[in-house]
Amino acid sequence: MSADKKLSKALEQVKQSVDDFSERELTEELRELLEYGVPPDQAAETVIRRKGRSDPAAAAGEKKLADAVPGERGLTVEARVLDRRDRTIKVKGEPREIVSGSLGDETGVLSFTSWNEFPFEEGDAVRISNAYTREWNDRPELQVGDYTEVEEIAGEDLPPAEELSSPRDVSIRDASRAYRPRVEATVIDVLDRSGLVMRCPECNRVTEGGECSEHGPVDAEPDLRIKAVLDDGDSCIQATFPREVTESLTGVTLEEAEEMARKAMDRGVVQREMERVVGRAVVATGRVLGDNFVALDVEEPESSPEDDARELLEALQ
Amino acid sequence: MREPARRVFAAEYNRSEMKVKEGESQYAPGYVITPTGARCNRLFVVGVLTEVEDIGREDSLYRARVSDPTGTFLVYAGRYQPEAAQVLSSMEPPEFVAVTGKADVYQPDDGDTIPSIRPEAVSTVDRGERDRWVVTTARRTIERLEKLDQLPEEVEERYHPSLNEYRDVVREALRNLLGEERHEPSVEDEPEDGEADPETGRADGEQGRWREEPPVEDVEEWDFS
Ligand SMILES: [Zn+2]
Repeated sequence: MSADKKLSKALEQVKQSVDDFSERELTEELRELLEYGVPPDQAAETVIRRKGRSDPAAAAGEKKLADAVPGERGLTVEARVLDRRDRTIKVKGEPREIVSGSLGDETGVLSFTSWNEFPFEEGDAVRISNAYTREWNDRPELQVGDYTEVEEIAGEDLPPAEELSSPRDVSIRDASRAYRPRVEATVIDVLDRSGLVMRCPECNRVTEGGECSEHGPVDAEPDLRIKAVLDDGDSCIQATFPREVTESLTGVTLEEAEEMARKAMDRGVVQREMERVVGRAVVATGRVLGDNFVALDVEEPESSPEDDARELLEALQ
Repeated sequence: MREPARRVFAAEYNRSEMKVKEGESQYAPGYVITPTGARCNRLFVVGVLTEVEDIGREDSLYRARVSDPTGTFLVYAGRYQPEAAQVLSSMEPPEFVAVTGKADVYQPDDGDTIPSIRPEAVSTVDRGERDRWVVTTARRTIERLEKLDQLPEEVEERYHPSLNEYRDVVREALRNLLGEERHEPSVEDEPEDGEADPETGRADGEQGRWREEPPVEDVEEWDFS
């Protein structure tokens, strides 16, 4: 019997008693045993026994990113690294290097944290086996732990990174599932602490009375922003409009805002000016960080209400 | 989780007479349930501000009328809505306005129900934003009509909503946007607030359920960092 025939025979046998595992994973394990000269039926039995011992309900197996849920074990994904950041956190008082970032495939995006070395760059295609997931801000987050294997793959089946990280039209409800969500919604509220804020030049935190909570008294720099609520009638999300977006939305520049505040001797006038965007329909492209939508670009909706109205009327006849 | 702002036409909202509370605690959110089943803790409306009146005695209580193509929303801003009250009092009707607020149902003694809005944010907008609101509200209403056969039993029993009736409301709104039909408000479209407010709608009034209460359900978890 040829090696290929042995493998497919053993694989058939395994597949009859094991599901929830990817064919690829089973094949790998069988091939290894066969290479050591284990007869096909014994190799199959070994793999069946192995898989049976791990709780089949808990072992997630191979999944697309959109199908991942919190609390999974034994998860395998093939995806592209969309971004990565090295961070140092303190674990029991000891500094520890971790890597966090985003993975993407054609179905969606998943945040990850690697507790070990992660020698892959943005755009790389990887196969991550035996990972687990945790819940973070109501979303699953993939964890690369001590028993997780990560290998670079050719990734011919995966869309290129530029495509995966390009804006995707989604509803607010699904915004956190997209790497670069683009939502059509209305600004229904402008929250306090919008308008002119002062920032710490060291860490960019908003200062209070010239003091940064981390760096103490600093020579704070002015910035203009809006904290808003975006709502589409079905769901809503808190959004932050950074300076450029705020300036284009309100038509008020940072310099003009400073001038307004100086004249009125009150920063509150700028807050009230920002509140005038309540009621504006927007198409906002951004990024969901935690439960906040950071808008990178805000435009007017392209569609004309008249055309939409005609279309709806026709459908109603 | 913050409650989304529902989109409902005035003709539908003004027929609402159900208010439910989720849970026993005083912080539990309340919802006005409309005839097609919209669960409104919060509403977002855009229309023409046609009138603002201070109907308060000692404290100011502004009553504003916001008209959409199908009817008129009643908006009440008192001392617990100081910013909205200030903005409303400075407006000169007619103007296009956007109002985000809490849905409420006011019940004077005669057993009538008067749906209203307690505003959180008020702003002037242009005709384009009004038109977009009509389109979005039409879409959301159509979505609810598509699921009309799945209404909870108590909602169905209370309203027996007619599919055709609410389709007509949507058509009326869309035709008005396109200038195909002038809306002549009929008497039924106007909520009957009339003389009831000075009797029962006051902050110090003991009768009736419309009382100026601290908006406790506004306490929501927001991360301002
Ligand atoms: Zn700082």
